[in-house]
Amino acid sequence: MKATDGVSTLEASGVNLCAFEPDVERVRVLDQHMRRRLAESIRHIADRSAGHLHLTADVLEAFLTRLAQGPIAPLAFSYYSDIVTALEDDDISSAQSLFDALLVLPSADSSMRVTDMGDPRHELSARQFASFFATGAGIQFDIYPPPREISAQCRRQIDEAMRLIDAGDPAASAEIRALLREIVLAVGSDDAKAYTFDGASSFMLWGAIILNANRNDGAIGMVQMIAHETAHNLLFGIGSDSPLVLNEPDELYPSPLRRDPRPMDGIYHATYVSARMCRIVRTLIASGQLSGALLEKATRDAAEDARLFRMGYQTVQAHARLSPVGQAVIEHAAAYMAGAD
Amino acid sequence: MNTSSTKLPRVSLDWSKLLGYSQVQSLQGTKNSTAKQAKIGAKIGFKTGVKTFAK
Repeated sequence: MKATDGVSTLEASGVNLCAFEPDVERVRVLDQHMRRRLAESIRHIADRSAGHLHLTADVLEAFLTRLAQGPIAPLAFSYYSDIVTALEDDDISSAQSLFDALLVLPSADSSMRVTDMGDPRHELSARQFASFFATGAGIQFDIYPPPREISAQCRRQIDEAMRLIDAGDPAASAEIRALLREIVLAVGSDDAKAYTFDGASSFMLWGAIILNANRNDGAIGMVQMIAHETAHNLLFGIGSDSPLVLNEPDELYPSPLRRDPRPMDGIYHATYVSARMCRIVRTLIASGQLSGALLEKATRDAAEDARLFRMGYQTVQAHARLSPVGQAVIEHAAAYMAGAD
Repeated sequence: MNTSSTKLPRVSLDWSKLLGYSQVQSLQGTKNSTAKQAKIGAKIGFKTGVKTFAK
């Protein structure tokens, strides 16, 4: 693993970007930074699109003011990303529609929302969520709205998981609740041979995660799922100014969490999130909140998470080219895991 | 008559000013320089079949 030069303006924020332990203040700084950068980007697009897009100045300014004042619906990042793509494709009509949808997005709730994904055939927001599953890598995911009973069961799992985290790992609870604005529930295909998904997150969906509501690994599984996707979001924020991983995207390596070979950025993420999953489960075990079957599963899963971290970290050490921040982040994770072994 | 003048000119974006697209700068001029291809990666945990946990 080789670190190369690369300085993030976030490094000047005074917050410890690279610490492994959850830090709610770091998340608040990252969220402010992401919103400020999004506002700058939208203003740049609006300036450069003058004469092509019809944007009402008052509406644009009102949106940017809301964006500066507090968290926005995570779909804002997705609409922004697709506006960039549409403009590069000279698709002015699509860019206009996306801009119109962007500017009327609501501010985010102060608390974490759990929502059911709508029908992509009829709802733009659902199509945006589904678009993150168009990987372009030869793997086709189908994603559907969750049936009512499956959604209800999943919501109960999320509630139970968050009760455990609130009681047994307050630092993680604060970080999760500050970072995640929306948990979107969906389901995959019923076809036993089809690819389906566990969960998903994206840089361009900052503050939201998409979970497969059709799951059967209980509260401890949900604890790890939430910690997993939160950790992805954390890395997106830390690396928002400059990449943490500098390897070329077409360099593929075995992943600890997926069967298909993945770019180093994916290996790095998988390795880090394994450490975060291990940490939260071990913290819950140490808190005394778990007993019986929950404790047994937590103990098994913590060992498996640690094994997956070791697998991933070996690949990172052998092949990754990292920015200084990228190297520090993963080394802090490795230091925690070494101490926890 | 030059009909090409009826086509809207391309909106030119400065990648360095766009959240999440700083890496596109280093790809300019290559086949992979489009925003679409550089779209910031989604992280998807997946499995084959609803009953096979392939973590």
